[in-house]
Amino acid sequence: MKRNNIGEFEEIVLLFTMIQHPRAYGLSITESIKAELGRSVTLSSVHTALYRLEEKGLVQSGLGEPSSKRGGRRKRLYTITHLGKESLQEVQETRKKLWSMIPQNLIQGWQI
Amino acid sequence: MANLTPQPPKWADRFLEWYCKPELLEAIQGDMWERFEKYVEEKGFRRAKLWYILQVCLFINLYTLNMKHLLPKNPINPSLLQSYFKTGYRNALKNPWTSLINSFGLALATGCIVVVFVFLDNFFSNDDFHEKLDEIYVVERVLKQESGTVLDGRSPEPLGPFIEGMFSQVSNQTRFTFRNATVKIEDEVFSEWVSFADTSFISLFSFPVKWGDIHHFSQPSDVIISEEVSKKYFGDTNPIGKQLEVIFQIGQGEHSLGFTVQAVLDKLPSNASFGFSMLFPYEAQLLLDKTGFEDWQSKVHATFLQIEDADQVPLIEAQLDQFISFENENNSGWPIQSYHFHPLSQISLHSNGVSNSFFSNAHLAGIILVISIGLIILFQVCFTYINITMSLLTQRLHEIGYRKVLGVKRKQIAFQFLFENIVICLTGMGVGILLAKLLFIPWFSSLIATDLTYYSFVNPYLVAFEILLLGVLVFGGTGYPALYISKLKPGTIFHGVVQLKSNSILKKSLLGAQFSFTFLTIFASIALFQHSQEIKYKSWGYNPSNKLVLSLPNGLKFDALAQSYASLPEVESVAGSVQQIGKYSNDVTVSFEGKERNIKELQIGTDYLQKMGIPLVSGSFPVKQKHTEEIPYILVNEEFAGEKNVVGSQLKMEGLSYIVSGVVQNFRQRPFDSPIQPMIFKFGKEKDYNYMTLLLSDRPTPEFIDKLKKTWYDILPFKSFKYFY
Repeated sequence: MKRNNIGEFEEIVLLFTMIQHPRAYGLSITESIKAELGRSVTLSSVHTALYRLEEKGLVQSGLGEPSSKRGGRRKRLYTITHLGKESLQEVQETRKKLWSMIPQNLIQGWQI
Repeated sequence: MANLTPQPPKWADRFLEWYCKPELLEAIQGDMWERFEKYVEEKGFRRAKLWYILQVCLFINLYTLNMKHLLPKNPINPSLLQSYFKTGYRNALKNPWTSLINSFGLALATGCIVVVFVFLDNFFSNDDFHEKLDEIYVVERVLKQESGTVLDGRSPEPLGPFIEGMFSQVSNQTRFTFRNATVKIEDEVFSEWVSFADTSFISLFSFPVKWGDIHHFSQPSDVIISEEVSKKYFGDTNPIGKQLEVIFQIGQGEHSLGFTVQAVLDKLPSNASFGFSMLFPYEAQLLLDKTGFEDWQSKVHATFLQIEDADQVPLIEAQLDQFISFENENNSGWPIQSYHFHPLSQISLHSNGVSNSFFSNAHLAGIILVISIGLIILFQVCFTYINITMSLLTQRLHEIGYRKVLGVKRKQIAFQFLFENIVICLTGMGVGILLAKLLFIPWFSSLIATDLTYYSFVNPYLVAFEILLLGVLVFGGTGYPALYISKLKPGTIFHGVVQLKSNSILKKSLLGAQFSFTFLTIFASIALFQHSQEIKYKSWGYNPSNKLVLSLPNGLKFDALAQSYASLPEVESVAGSVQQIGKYSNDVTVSFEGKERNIKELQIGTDYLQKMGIPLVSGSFPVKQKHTEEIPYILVNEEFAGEKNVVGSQLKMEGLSYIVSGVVQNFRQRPFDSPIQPMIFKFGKEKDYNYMTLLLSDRPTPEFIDKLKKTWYDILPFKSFKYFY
């Protein structure tokens, strides 16, 4: 299996895709990033990240129902794939492993 | 309802629809519309519109671009290109001479333009191999003279360390000075200009190194040599660790020092404004005639400063004004008004007007002349090319007519001509670049005495320039005719009603422009040639050809050498002098007719001016005499005398009085851009003569110089033989 490295921004987009499952789309993810993380990102960068994730096979997409808003245009809804979940878990485990390697006293010193 | 809801700008939407891939468009546009509606509510319609336009632009990327719109719809068939090529070739053969002139002219002109470009690029990128170039400044002194201020390139020896210690903004300083010395290798001796610099010189400048460690430069016995010197003394072998014996002239005696070669520089880049042949640590001078470096009257040839923040430069300059008294206190020359720091990156255009500056320089007028010649050639080749191409095209109207009858589209005909011209221009320019590389640049390098042959042709600016030139030529040469002719209807062509040849205003004006540019080129060339001839022969006021000047070691028996040289058949006469016309002169203050004047002084031999062919205007040359005492006579130039008759007048200088025995015609001591200055000529003692000028019946040949060298070593073994023209 080809190992997929995902970047920090891609990780966030992927996480929001899961949070908003199954109704995640470009604009909803953009606005959640702003609301939850206080980070201002452009619509196009989220879209580009989604294209890249789809190219890597970490998400899949399909067109949703037309609505009266958006000039009657359909949304492209993204859902996470099995591969996407695996890479997210891998990222988390790598983090955990690295955290466990930090000397305890350092972390304790932090907490005080 | 639809009218009430605000909508994003239509044109932006259309642009998005044009460039975006259809499969992505719906989702993107939907998201943007949705957000747009919210944005209108939050921030108003105007801001929302601006946001929408910005987003449309931000969405342009490799994922969204629809490549179908960007690539041409009908890809070009290679076999079509082949047939275009064939047609073009046959047409060219039909008019062999015109085609030859056209392409060869193109090649020649491209060659010339490339040379001009290389020259200018080399000039404007001066010293760019020094990594810290933008932080390096050269200290200059502003001297107060009665006629205003002049810049002098030398600076007092303690100034550099003083500034470095005084101002924290100056992170580094280095002093650089040079003198003449003799290098002794086995039994042979060579004269060499050798330089001394502070250790910081090595970290401040980034001269390319061929061998050794350039940072090994702290012991008084270390020396860094140039590639040229390394070749001269050690051939192609690596000389690191080898010994060099250098003899310095100190007062009347000689002092010999041994040095170890620590590093050899690589060939100096052609855009270097200065370099050195041998570099010794500054402290090595303590082993010679120096006892310390605290004397403000002692001058170094250059002080370099490293200042990171360019905004600080004027502040430091201004603060230094309160310290000019250090130098002015015991100053016998012109007083200092202030110090000036000049960026090293701009020294070449500047140093021409700075006295005692050793940086290679160019006069602005010369640069402008070169640029104008390049532009004239460029315009001329464009107009000539356009005219010839157009006249050749008119002969092919029937070809175009037939093709149109066969149903060929206008675009295709235009493309055929464009293609044909791209091939011609590319070939012509290729040949031109080859010509430049192999012929013009070596020739031009020898003309301007700067080696440009190492210039890399893989230079982004040069490539960009060539592409631009190609574009101008191709679209200039074929743009109009290709578009115009391809528009003609076959009927008009076959009826022969097309009158492209005679009455087109465009054609006439193009021909007129070509005509005037041709004349402009001819006149400019003639003017340039005449000017250079004048510089060579006339306006110096004396005849500098057929002369050979020898530099003499101190304390030499002038007579013995002069007599043996005078007996050679090629030598017409021999004259001695302390200083040379065209070389350094002294600045002195004289008291004349009750007024103090600062003027230039040249110390010469009694018959020197006479033999140099400088005529007297009035009075007489003093009688040649062997002398050990001061001669109480003096000569002045016309500029000094003015309208008055000054022969017989008295002049006081340094406590002694002299009688003006004659007035000589003005001549040039310095190059043409500096005015002729008032000057006096004092007669030096024979034992002080530094130069012997030989006047020859013909141009000196290498055999003749060998003969001179042999005689020299017979009389003066172990004194190096130095000459110049």
